[in-house]
Amino acid sequence: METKNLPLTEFQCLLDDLSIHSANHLIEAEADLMQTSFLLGEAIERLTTSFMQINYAIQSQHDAFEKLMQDQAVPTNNIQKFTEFRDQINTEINAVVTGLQFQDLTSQLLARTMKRLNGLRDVLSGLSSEDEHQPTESDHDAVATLLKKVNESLSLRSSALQAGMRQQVTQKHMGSGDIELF
Amino acid sequence: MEKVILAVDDSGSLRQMVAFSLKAAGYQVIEAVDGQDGLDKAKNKTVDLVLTDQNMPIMDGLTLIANLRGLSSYQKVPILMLTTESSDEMKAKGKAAGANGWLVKPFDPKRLIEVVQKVIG
Repeated sequence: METKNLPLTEFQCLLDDLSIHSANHLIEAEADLMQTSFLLGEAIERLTTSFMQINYAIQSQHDAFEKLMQDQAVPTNNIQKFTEFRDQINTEINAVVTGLQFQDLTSQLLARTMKRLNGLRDVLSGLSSEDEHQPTESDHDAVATLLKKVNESLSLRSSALQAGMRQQVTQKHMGSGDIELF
Repeated sequence: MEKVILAVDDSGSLRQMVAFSLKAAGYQVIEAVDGQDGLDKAKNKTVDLVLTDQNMPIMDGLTLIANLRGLSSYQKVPILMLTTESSDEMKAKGKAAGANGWLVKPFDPKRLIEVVQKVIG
């Protein structure tokens, strides 16, 4: 009776390649996320600085207009307009302050994703063969044991990774969050 | 006299937004970059209200609250959490640690001021 050999060497090569290629792509993805995080950080810094300067200019303009009103140098209908504009500006400023908090949320999400990618790299590295006692290609039971071992290792590493990935940001929109006083 | 609020958050932009909103409402704001920094500054000067984030390096918000409640000068000072965390489990932990309220980010300045005024006037 003919005994077929299992393509064990090819299979191990496949696992090794999967581990190597995945690691390379994950490193690239991590680098992109780091760059995104850096760009968002710089963007928020510039936006915040500009926002503060705009607000300062608006406040100065407001003070100057108040002075003109005190001096009765402004027609009544313009005072009404000024009040409307001031209220509208205050509403928009509130909206901007809420919106500018995006970086606090996104930076936490990005950090979590980077941590997961890094962990996934470790998980997949477990596919790569480091065992010197490889079964022979005709020993089906030993091959099955090896595959089971690889599978268990993957499962363990994946569970450990998931356990360290507590979700801290669940917001799906930038509307203001709930408030609860105890 | 201006009431003093200690704002603790590791996010610089968030601290700026908190400080901007509170200062516009007439409060004095002391900023701290993490729980340990917040604790050090709180020990240095007793404030009227502590507003703290939860997830920060070095010392998180719950640990900061526990430490502050261990100080005689902070037994009755209101402490509010301002965090991305919104689970009931975390809120219960905050309450048990001694927090007086829980605000989920992002905050609306108008609502933040309303809460602060309600808590410390």
